[in-house]
Amino acid sequence: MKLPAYELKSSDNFTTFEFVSIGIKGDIPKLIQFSTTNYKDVFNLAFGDKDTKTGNFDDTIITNNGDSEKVLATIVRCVYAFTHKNPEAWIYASGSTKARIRLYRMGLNRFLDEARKDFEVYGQINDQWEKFSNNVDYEAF
Amino acid sequence: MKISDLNKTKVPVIGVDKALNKYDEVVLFPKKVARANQMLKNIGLPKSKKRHSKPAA
Repeated sequence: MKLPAYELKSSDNFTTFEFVSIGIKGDIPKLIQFSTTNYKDVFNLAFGDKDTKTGNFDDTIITNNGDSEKVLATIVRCVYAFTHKNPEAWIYASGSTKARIRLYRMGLNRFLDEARKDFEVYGQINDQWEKFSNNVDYEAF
Repeated sequence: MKISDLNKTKVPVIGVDKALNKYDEVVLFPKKVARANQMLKNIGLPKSKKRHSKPAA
């Protein structure tokens, strides 16, 4: 993957990652977390902005920092790092709003050819999974 | 690993920041995890030829 991405830092076990989004709204720290679920080897991928004043994280905020493609490329790098460490992992991801899910879907479309070389990619729609296809309004991935 | 190998790999070189370790045991985005668990309960995982995961014991 040759798209530009931000420099990443990780926790010791590669489940929490941090990077700084640099754009029109300034420097915004972001945290990416792979959380365990009730299923073995299934992890939830989520990320959000870190409030530097409170230390809290918000995955609903619309940053509009003008670097969404670079942010998505950075998240893809995290997925590679995480799955290198956890090769049996399934990763589930969704957005907090329909607009955000659409953004992620479009981003995934961009990386799809590359991603398919290394991963099985599925989309969730109407309580079913199917092989990810372009132009389908998936609810999660 | 050689530099040329590093340039070819898709796995990024990432520095460890031990300050992030404190987040590993905390669910930072609980609503998303709850949604994932609900999905798993409702429809499970895709039928992969490679592997199958089951509810954790």
